Amino acid sequence: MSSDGPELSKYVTLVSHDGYEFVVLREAVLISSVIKGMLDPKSQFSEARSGRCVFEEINGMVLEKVVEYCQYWYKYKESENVPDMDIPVELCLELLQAADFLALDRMITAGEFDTIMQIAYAFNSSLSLGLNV
Amino acid sequence: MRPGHRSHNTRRSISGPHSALTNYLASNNISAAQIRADAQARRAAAAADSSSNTPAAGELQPVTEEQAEVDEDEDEDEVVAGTSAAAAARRARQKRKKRDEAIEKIKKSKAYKKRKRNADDSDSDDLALALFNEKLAPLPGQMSNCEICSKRFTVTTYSRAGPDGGLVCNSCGKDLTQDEDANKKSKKKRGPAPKGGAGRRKIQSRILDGTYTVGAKNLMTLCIETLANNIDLADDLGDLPPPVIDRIARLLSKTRLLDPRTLDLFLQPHHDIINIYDAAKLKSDDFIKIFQLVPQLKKLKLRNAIQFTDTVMQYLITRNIALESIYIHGANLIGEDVWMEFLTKKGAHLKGLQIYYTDKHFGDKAVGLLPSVCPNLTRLKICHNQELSDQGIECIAKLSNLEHLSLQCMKKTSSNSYIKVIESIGPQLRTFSIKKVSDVDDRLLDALHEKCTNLSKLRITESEFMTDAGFARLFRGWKNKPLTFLDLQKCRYVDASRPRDNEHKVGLCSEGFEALMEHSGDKLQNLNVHACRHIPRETFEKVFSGDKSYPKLRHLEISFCEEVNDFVVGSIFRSCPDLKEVNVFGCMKVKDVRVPRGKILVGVPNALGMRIEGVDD
Repeated sequence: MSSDGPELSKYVTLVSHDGYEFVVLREAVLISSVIKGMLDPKSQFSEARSGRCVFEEINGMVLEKVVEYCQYWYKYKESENVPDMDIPVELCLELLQAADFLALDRMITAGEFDTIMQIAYAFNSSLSLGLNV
Repeated sequence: MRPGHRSHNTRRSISGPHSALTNYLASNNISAAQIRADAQARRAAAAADSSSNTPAAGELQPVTEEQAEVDEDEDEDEVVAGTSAAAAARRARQKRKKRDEAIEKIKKSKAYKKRKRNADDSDSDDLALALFNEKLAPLPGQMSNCEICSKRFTVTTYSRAGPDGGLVCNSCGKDLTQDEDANKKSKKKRGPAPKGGAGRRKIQSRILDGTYTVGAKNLMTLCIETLANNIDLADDLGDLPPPVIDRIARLLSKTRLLDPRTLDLFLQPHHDIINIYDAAKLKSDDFIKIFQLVPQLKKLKLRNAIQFTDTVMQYLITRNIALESIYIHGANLIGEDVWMEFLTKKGAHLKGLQIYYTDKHFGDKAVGLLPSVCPNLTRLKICHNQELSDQGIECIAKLSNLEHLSLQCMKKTSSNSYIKVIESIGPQLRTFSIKKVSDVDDRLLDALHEKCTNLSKLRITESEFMTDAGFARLFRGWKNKPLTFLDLQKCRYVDASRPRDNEHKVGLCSEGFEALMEHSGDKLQNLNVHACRHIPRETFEKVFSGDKSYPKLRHLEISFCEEVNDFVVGSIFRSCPDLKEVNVFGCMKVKDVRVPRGKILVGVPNALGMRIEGVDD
C-alpha cells in the first residue's frame, strides 16, 4: 500500500530477508536512525520513494520483534514508568545484533522526539508539495 | 425475666434432698437443674437448627430429632417438675425470644459485619443465624454431623466451623484449611504486582541514579537486560560490538553475576579491551586465564580485583603483553616490589595507570620510579592510597607527558608538592583532581592561574585554607579556556562554635563563585559547590539572573548551600536551559519549586524528597 503513493505514507513496509512484510506506522519506525535515513526524502534512496525497506540481514522472527518494539516505543513515548517489553530469550542475541544494526541503542528524549516529529511533518508536507508541483 | 423465677416456683413443689450449694443457689434465685435443662435444650436446638440449615443434612434430620428427643427425655427424667405442657411451651417461646435477641445482638457484632463483608451475596438473616448456631455449636465431646460430608463425628475443641457456620469433621476440616492456605498464597502473589513498569521505590532510585528517562527503554537495553538475566543459558556472545559487550559486562557486575564461568564470555582472543567491573568472585587462576586467552590485550580494567596477587602480576610480567592502560581497584595483595618490577618491565608502553584502594602497596618508591620507566604516561590516577606522601607527589612533576592527574592520598599532603607538580607540568594538564586536601592553600590556586591553560576538568575538595580571594584570583583573567567540569566540594570555613561568621572569607564565597561562573559559565557542564555554604543568596541571584545563560550546564550540585531558596532554584532553571539535574540536599529554604518538564530536582527537604515534574514548561 505504501508503494502506491507517497501521500499515503503514514505507513511504511519493512521486509525481512525471508519475505515477511510488516506494515508499520511511519512515526514509529523513526526511532531507528538507520531506517529514518533510509526513508529520508532527501536521500533519494529507493526506500524513500517506495516506502519499503528490505533488510537482507534480518529474518522474519527478529524483524517482527523489532516492529513490535517500534510500536511499543511509539505507544509509550511520552509516558513515565513504562512496563518492559517482553524479549524472548532465544531471540535475545539476534535481536541485540539487529538493534545494533538499526541503531536502536540510544534513548530518545522528549526534545529529540519533537524534532523527529517535526522532520516527519516537514517530510509529509514536502512530499505533498512535490506532488502539487 | 430470668427463667430462674419460674423454675424456683416449680421446684418448690417437689421434695428431695437439698445440698448446701443448691440451697445457696436457690436463695439467690438460681436453679442448677434449670441451668442444665436450658443448656441441654440449647444444644438440642442448635443440633436441629444446624441440620435444618444444611441442605446436605436433610436425610439425617430424623436422627437429629431423635437425638433431641433423647436429650429431652433425659431432661424430663432429671427435671421431673418441668414436664407440664404449658411450661414447655412457655420455655420454647422464651427460648425463641432469647434466640431472636441473640441474633439481633449478633447482627450488631463485629464478627458478623466482617463476615458479611466477605460474603456479600448471602442473606443477612441466614448469616446471623449461622453465627448464632456457631455460638451454640455442640460442645467438645459430643457427636455432631459434619456440615460438608454429613458424617457423624465427635466434636473436639479443634473442630472447625464450616462455610455455613456448622461444624465439620476432621478430614473435611483439613481440606478446608488447605484450601484457605492456597487462597492466601495466591492472593499474596497477586497482591503486590506493580501495574506499571517499576514500583515507586524503583523510580525514585532511578531518579537518584540519574538513569531516569521518560518513555520506553531502548531495544538494546531491553535485550541486554534479558541477556544478563539469562546469562547462564549463553554459551557465547558471538560477534557483538565492543560497546554492547561492555554494557553486558556492567550489567552482569551490577547483579554480581560475574564469576569464572561468565568471565569466559568476555574473553575473546581478538579483543584488546577487557573491562571487568566486579572481579570479586574471580580467583588468581582466572586472572591468569585472561592473559592466556587474550594475547592482544591493550586495556585492562578490573574492579574489586582482590585476588590479583603477586603471582598474577608476575605472570603478566612474563607474558608478551604490552598493556597501554591498566585500571585496577582493590588489589591490595600486590606488594610494592612486584609493582616496581611490573613498572620497570612493562612501563614503557603504559599510557594510563589507575590504581584504587591498594592500601599501602603503591607508595613513594613506586611513584618515584614512574618518570624513569613510564615516559609515555598520560593518565595517572592514584586514589585512596595510604602510602603516597609529598615526596611521591613531587616525583609526578617529572612526568613530562602527563595530561590527566587525579590524586587522593590518605596521608596529609602539603601545598608545596602540588605547586611543584603544577609549575612543572601545569601547562599540558587537562585534568587536575585532588581530593580531601585539607592543608592545601591559595598558593596552589595562584600556581594554577599562572601555569595552567589547558585544563578542562578541575577538582579540589575539602580545602580548609583556600580563601574566596584566592578563588577569585584564580578565575579572574585566567588564560585557561573555560572549564567543563568543576568540583570545589566542601571548600569552606569550618568552626563549630561560630559557624556563621567567616570574616576572613575562607572557602568559596561570593567573589570566587561570581568569578568562576564568569570565566567558565559558557562551557561548564558539571558544577559541584556542595557545602560551600558561605555563598550568599545575593550572589546566586546575581549569577543566575535573567540576563545570564549557561547553555551547557547539565549537572549542578548546590547541596548544603544554606542560602539557596525557591527563587534561586527557579532562577537556576531559567538560566540553564540544558540542565538535567540539580541537587539541593540540605537547602532548607527550598520549599516548593516548580520544576520544569524533564528536569530533576533532587533532595528537597519535604516528604517527597525528590521529584520530577512534567507539567510546567
